[in-house]
Amino acid sequence: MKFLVFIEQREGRIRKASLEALSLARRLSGGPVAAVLPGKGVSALASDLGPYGAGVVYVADRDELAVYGNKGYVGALDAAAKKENPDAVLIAATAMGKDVAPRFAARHDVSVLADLMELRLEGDRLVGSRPVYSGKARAEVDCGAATLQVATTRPNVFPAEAQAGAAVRIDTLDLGEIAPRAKVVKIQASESKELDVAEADTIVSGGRGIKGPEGWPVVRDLQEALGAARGAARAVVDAGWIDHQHQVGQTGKVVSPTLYVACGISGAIQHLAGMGTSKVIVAINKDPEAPIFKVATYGIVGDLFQIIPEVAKAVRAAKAE
Amino acid sequence: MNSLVAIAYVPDTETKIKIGADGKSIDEADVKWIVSPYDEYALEEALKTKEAKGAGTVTVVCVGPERAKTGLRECLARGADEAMWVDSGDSRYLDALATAKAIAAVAKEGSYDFLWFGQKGVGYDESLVGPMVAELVGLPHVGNVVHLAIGDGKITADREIEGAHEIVESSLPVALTAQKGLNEPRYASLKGIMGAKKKPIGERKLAAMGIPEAEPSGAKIRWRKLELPPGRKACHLIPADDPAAAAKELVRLLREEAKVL
Amino acid sequence: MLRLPTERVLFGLPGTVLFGLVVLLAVVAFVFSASRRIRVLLAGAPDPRFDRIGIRVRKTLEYAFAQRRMFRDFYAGVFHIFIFSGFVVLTVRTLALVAEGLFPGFTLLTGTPGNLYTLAKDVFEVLVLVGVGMAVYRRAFARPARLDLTVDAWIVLFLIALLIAADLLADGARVAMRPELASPWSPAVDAIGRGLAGLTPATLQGIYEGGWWIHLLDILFFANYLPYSKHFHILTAVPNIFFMKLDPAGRLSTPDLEKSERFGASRVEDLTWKSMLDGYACTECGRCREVCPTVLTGKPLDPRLFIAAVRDAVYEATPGILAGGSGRGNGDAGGGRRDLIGGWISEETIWACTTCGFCTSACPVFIVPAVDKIVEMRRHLVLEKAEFPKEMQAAFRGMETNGNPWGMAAASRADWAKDLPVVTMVEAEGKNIEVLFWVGCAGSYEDRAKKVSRALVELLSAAGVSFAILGTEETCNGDSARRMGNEYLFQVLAQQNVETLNGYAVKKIVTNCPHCFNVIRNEYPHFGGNYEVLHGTELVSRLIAEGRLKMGNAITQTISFHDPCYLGRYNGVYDAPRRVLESIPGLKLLELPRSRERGLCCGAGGGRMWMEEKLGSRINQARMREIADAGTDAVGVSCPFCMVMIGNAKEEIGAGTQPFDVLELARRAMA
Repeated sequence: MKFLVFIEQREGRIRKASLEALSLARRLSGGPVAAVLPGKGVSALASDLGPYGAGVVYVADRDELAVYGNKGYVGALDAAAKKENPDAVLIAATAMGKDVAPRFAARHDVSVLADLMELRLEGDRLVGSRPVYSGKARAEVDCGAATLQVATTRPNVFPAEAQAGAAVRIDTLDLGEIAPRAKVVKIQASESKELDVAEADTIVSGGRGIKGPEGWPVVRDLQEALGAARGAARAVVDAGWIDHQHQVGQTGKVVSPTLYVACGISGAIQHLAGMGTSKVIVAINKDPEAPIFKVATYGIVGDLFQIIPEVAKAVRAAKAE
Repeated sequence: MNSLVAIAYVPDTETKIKIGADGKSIDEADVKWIVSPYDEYALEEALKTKEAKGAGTVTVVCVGPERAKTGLRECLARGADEAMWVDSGDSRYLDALATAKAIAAVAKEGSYDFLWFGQKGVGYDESLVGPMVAELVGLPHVGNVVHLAIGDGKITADREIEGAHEIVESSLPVALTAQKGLNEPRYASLKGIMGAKKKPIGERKLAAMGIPEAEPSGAKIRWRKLELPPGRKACHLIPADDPAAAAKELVRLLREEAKVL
Repeated sequence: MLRLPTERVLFGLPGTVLFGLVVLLAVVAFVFSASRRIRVLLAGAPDPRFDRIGIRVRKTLEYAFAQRRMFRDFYAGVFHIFIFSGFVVLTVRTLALVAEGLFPGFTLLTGTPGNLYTLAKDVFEVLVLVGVGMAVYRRAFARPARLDLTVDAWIVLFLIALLIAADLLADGARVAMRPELASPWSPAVDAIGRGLAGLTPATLQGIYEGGWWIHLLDILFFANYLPYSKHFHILTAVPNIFFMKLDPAGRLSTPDLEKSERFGASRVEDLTWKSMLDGYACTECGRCREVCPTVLTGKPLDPRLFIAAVRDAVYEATPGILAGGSGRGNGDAGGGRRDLIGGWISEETIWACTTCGFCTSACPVFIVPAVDKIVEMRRHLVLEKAEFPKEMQAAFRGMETNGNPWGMAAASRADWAKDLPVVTMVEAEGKNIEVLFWVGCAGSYEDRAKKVSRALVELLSAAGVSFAILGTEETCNGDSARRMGNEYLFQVLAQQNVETLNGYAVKKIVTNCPHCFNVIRNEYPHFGGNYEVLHGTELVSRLIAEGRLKMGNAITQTISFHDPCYLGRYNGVYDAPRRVLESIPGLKLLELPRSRERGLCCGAGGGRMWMEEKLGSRINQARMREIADAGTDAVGVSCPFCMVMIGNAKEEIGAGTQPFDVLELARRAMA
């Protein structure tokens, strides 16, 4: 069973999500697998992939690949696939991976097992599990009789495991001319404090429990630790403690982030109407009867001024690991 | 500026998911259907483009069973000019490639400057169809678009990636997938709703387009099993006697159980 | 000696001829002005108001002639009835004088009827002067806030005072010249006559003739001034009362959307003729302004200015409409006309209204100052243009997709009742169900209201009432959609609900939401849904009275009661919640300064629940302050939306008064 793993790097740094996919491929195949690494000045990075499971790395090192473009990056994957002739291709389901995988698959007349949270082999068939209906159900999927099986793996789900001592063979790809019609002309880093609550993947919100505008620094501390956007319940917006653009709820923004942390929010229905579809909800509130606990995944009943600084600390510690 | 907007007609995000009798699809009995919210951003942007340029048409296409026509009517009510329904017949689950092939066939029939998609169809949540169509039609593609500026024969799109934004320039025609934040979709006026009742909806049959729809067709994503995730019932309350310990436990759960950190 | 005023040559013409020409000119001018005003009304949208004539006559006598609503402000009521009744008598007097001017020597009445007429004229002329004096004092010194001190008002008071004074002086001079005309039936005129007695006959003749002419010219001018003044009221108030809305106050008009080509009102011609007449009839007394919650909290909607804007828009559009021929729909606004929406009335104004109906019930002449017109304008904005505060879209979509404005899953509608002994109509099949409990969206999904739903279930069960709910077959009643202008969505929901209810042959419904209550009771009949609808407090108070429920547990507290607009003002249910509270041992009910008919809105009505309140201060806080100032331990509430608004306001201003739903308290007190 031959695997080919697409390796994503940005500015010379290999994405952890790609190492996770690489380790997974090695675990499934029981030995080193092939990887493809497109980019500019990336040849030196190829050997770093060995410990995570790469036996051979197809390198496409070109000036035109300095920034992402699906023409060049899918072209590299395609060239590697022609050489390697894999049974399965794994790609991390990042913004780049979600662009590369479907294009590559369509070119080979197959579909994609997308955004997997679990993946195993049944004979030579990939069998994955993925959340569907906003996480309200899980589907076990395979790709039928496809001879080329393409899958994307959700970041931060599978472990990236480094093992010492593996040698890496480097194979340079010749891509020919790359003349993309769509080109990245600039990359702008987003500033977390400017994150729009409607688009953010993580939101920390404050409600009446923060007591007053002077309560925001405590919430902001956790927000920054998580790299989250700041939300607010209607009551604190009405009270003038924060601008309306942060309001989450019926008459504010309707959000659906992966993680929603509600600090001192009771969970009135007008608030739930704006965030009830969040994947994971954490509620911190002193009132155990507060309706927010009915929708929360995790809850801590207590004084948020004591608890939130500790959570921020623990998040920072976890991220530093 | 002509646009083709591909929409998915999906269960409302509030719908209670019940597993169907076959154990691999949902029970559709009490499901409320909506146009996938990301597709609404795509439609809105196409309508705004047409209005800004004062010329062009917006065509919507949906691949699905009969109910897809209701979704298409909603789009017509909001201002789309034409609609095309690709009848997927009895197929309970069409995979992304088959859907993309049908849309690509429709796209090739017309002359479009923009092929618009939602960033994902809520429900299946795969994010596959847009780039696949772009590949099949042979167009550049920009995904996760949160802002779009249209120039002379080209566009500049602001695309969201992890922790940053890519500013992408592309020639026309182009395929684009819309992300939340791109715009605020409009509400259909009653005038629009009444007008939409009179507009015809074009029809194609998937089978007649040479696209295989039913199993076994070889390469096809199959749902083998569908189950409700365990333990999303009651809130997991963490004792708060020791705030530091509670915080550590919360972070551990977020990482290891919920896998969101 | 006494020469009648027209018995001489004036400006080269015989006096009678000149006078005749003046009268003719005035009449022609008046007919011209008035007919234009009336012809514009004919261009308005139809609104049948010629039914139930008997009731209309009775109401006209009660409110136009006895002026019942005027005496809520006693001072104004007194001087207004002085002037009004004086005018009724003076109309006769003026006609007699005109006849005298054309046919010198004409006498209207002689003998006892003549004497009675003379007395009436004498007394009422004095009363009019007293009334004008009181009005002048009020404008010049008392200056109530509801009044705008316009020049128009001063002109009219001056014209009235002048015409009375001129007539009294003329008559006095006449008596002074011919003392034999003095009569005990005209004490005021005789007193003036005595006062003038020392003057020369020529002077007296001058005063007599001058006064006579001034009186008549004044009144002819006045009649022609009216159609261009707020005092058109004098001519239009009585017909406006006659044509008042006799349908239930809580029922809005139901347009046939399938047959309409235009939706709602964006032009003067889209308004009904009665809406235009409302504008004519307004004399800018400001009683609506005084009670309006949006005025109280500094928002752009002021019903007194709103109806004046409607009137002025009608006036501005008049030449165009009349030039375009009869009938409506002659092209769009144009010809220099300002748009009704955006020009005369801002969109912010249109969206500010809570439809509490206080302005309507405050108007002495039954003008509907704002609510029906605002709903028509909202209909235009939503149905034609899809332009509205963006947060409303979430509510519309929630109602469309999931049958509730929050967009909570339709399938979860009956989840609140999971662990309760509640059957759905489906489960009850065939069983004899006494009453259907219509839970409503709030009662099904909103946390506090769900507890009230439980309380009602427990009360009904304890009383042995057999009841059922619709469960997931129930959907939003559509009140918010309709009052936010989304008539299409409302009609879809109404038809669906009526179909469901009729499918189970439901006869009797109980609901604890005043909005559901009002819509099902007053608006569903149009869709073929006719039911006996009770509010929760009505049913529970009956059960207590019948002894089926015992209020045994004491709740030792003082409590006030906040009247929900759609329960009280719109449907007259004031006593039932109070009876429930009074039946609870230990509970002491104290009335708020503004309660019952004068209850102040919580701010949630008219779909305001689903909009941001960005302008001015908060209505719910203003109301909560009044409640807190009353100093009771608790406040009774009987509407889930009032509960949210009052509950939020309590937290926001840090008030100590606890809000409770009346049924929650009844449940606690139940032995």
